[in-house]
Amino acid sequence: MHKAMTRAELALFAENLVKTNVVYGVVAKDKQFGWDRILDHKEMVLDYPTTISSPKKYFLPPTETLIEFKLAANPDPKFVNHSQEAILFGMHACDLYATSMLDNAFEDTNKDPNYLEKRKKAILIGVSCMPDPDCFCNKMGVDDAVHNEAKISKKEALYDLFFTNIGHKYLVSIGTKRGEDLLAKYAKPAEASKAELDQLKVVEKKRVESFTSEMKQDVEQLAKLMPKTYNSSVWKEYADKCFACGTCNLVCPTCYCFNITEKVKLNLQEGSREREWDSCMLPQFAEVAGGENFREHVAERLRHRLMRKGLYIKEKFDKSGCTGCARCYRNCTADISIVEMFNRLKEVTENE
Amino acid sequence: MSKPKVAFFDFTSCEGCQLEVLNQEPQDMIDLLNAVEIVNFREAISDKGQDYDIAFIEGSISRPADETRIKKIRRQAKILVALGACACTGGLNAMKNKYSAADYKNYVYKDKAHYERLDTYAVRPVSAVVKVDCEIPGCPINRFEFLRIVKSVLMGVTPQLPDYPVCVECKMKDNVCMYQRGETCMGPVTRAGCDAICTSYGDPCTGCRGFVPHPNLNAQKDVLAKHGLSPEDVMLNFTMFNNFSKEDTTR
Repeated sequence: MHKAMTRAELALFAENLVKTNVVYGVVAKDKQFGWDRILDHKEMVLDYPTTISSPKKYFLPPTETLIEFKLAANPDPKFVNHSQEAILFGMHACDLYATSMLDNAFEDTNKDPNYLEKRKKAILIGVSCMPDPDCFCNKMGVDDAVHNEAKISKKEALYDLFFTNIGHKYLVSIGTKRGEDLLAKYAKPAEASKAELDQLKVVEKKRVESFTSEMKQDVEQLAKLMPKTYNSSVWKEYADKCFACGTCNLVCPTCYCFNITEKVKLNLQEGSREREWDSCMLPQFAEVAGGENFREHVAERLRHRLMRKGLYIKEKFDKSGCTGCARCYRNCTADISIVEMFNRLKEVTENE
Repeated sequence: MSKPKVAFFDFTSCEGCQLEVLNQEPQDMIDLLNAVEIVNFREAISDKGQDYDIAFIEGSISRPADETRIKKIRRQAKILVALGACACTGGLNAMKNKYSAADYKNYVYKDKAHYERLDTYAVRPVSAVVKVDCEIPGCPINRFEFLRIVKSVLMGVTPQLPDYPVCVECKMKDNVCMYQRGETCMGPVTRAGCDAICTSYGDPCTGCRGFVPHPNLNAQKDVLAKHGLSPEDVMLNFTMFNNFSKEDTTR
């Protein structure tokens, strides 16, 4: 079921939302785009190629206090969870999909209250996009949030509302009751007409035909390839260029690893348990007590990262660990392309 | 337990790191003074106490007389902490190590170049002369890192510096990469802990905190060259804060 809204109606909807809700959206940042708190709806951009980091930072902040305690016989721990009702406006299909993958990770075995509570209180509003030259979300099967929702999430819609730009108007797909209620509260959209639904198909066709990435394999093919690449010479090839700086992990919408440290205040009477983003590309990630490091070499760490993206997550959650957003490549100072690596692994493995 | 006695000493430096020590939030300063007793700190007090447990050393060693003085401090201090780039890597001072004495003296001091008190040997970090228990790098130091290290020392925990590069802190702040802004940056090989302060305010990293433990320096050279730097400019990036090498101690 689709509703239709003019651009002016959508702007009014956004304005109304921002007035009375905590809204996060995409804003221009130098020559790039990034997720930020929206206080003026006019600053919010809906037509953008990609963002530096992903909106995962609203559910899994870069740094977060989990517990506050005292350095005393009775530590009297207080659990900390700064969650609030929020609307994420303008998520691309790949990021909606990534969020559902993160949901799996944080619901799995030990449920993570800090993530899950923030996630539960968030309303996700998606927006359509056209692929830029590096995008390969189509190959990862996550480029269409509206029509692939059953296939991808297996239980519910990836979004509460999803806006598709059909040129003169936006068509709104309602994913949940919560989305429906939000729309009814802040806007009065008409039903989409037959002509508008036809136009949606035209736009969708154009989007599907616009992908230019060189990525040669889809999710299933990758999952078959990766086990054969464990001893490949390709890892070393790329390790020579790699800074092991962790950027690829930190901007990745599906990377969720974190480190836990305990910090003490200067009065030496109180402390807190802190969580912060970690990265499997960093040297200390697999280091254990006594100094042993299970992935001492950059090549081993690169392999681990790509195994996560192409195989391990697929095995664990039956979903792709990579969304094809290409943030890791766009932000890599050494210009290492994940697409080129996957293709090279295929080429070399077939010839080895 | 009585409060540990703390002293601050400076060698070849601008004393800016000691200013950062003083540049704390009021409550942090109160907590700091509740935790330690400062007995010698030229920038803050007139006392010149020589009975101390922890010595913070700002500045690099650049004359034989400096060696005598730092060795005396080392004998007294139970814990010796190098404070700032000059003390940790030789800092900016070590830039001169690649030139002849006549060249840099004439360039910097001009008609006063012949003054005897300007005679120095190759600049070196404190650790090249005495055992250093812990380093707080940076030009200047990060005052929050200073407090973290002090807390570690007070609790008897080995202080840890981040072993990852500045890129991590930049990404955690969602900064636009300097390279994507058309600049070059030493962030990919430079030790984090500064909270990416320069890049967050639009200035490229110049490597003041020294390199990460296993920097990919070849990749850094390639990237700088690819972004248009001449071989000379590439070397300038590497030698601004990180010019000291062990061979310098023979000169």
